[in-house]
Amino acid sequence: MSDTIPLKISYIWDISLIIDLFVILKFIVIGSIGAYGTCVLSPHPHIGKIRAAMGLNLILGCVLFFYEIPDEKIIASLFLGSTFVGMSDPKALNKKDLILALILYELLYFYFFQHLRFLGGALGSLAFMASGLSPKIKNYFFKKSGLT
Amino acid sequence: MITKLLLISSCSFSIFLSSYLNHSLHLAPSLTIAIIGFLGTFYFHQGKVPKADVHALLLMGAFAGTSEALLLKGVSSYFIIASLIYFLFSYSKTIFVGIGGKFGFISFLSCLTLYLLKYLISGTLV
Repeated sequence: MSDTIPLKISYIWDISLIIDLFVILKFIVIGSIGAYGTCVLSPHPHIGKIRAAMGLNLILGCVLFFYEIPDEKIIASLFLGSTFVGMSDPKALNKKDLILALILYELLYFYFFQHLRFLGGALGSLAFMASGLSPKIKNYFFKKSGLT
Repeated sequence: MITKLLLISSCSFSIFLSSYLNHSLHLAPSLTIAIIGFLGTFYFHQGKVPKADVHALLLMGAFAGTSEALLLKGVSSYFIIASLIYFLFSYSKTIFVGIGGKFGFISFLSCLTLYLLKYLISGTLV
C-alpha cells in the first residue's frame, strides 16, 4: 500500500511537467511564427515592416475573435510583441539572433508584463529591451566561451 | 508649424480611436492596435512629411490608446500624449535605428510621463 503513493505522485509530477513543457513550447512556437513571419514579409517593397507586423496580428486577431482558444489573451499579446521583435533590422539582428531575442522577450513578458499592462506600449518596450539586449548578451556569453 | 500640429492631431485622433475601440467596444488591445496600425499604412500622400513618419505616428497613437481608461480622461490627455510622442519620435530618429519595438517604447515613455505628471499634480496615482 505504501509503495503505490510515491508512484502516483511521480506519475502526476511527470504529466504536469510534460504539460508545462508543452505550454512553454507552444508559446515559443507562436512567438517564432510572429517574429519570423514579420522578418520574412517586411523586405517586400509593397508590404514594409509595419504592414507586415500589423497584417499578421490582424489575421491572428480575427481568428481569435471568431474561435475560442485557451490562453487567447496571452497568445494575442505574446504574438504582438514577437512581431515587434521581428521588425528589427536584419543588420542589427540576423535570423539566428532573433531566436535569442525572442526567448529573452518571452522571459521579460512573463515577468514584467502584468506590472506594466496599464500603460500603452508596454509590449513594445519589452520587445525593444529584448532586441536591444540580445546582441550584448550573445557577445558576453559566447565570446567568453570562445564559441564565436 | 502647421504640419507639426497636423501630425500631433492625427496622432491624437489615433489615440482616441484606439481608446474608443478598446474601452467602449471592448475589442482586444492587440486587435485594436492591429486594425489601426494596418489601416494607417494605407495613408499614401507624400508631402513635406514622409508617409512612413505618419504611419509610425498612427501606430504609436494606437499603442497609447490601449492604456487604462483613467489615464486617458479628457481631450487634453490625448494631446499631451500625442505631443510627447511626436517630440520623442522626432528626436530619436538617429538613435536606436533598426531595433524592434522602438515605437512601442516611445509610446510607453509618453504614457509614463503623463502618468507621473498626473501623480505630481493631483497627488494620487491614477
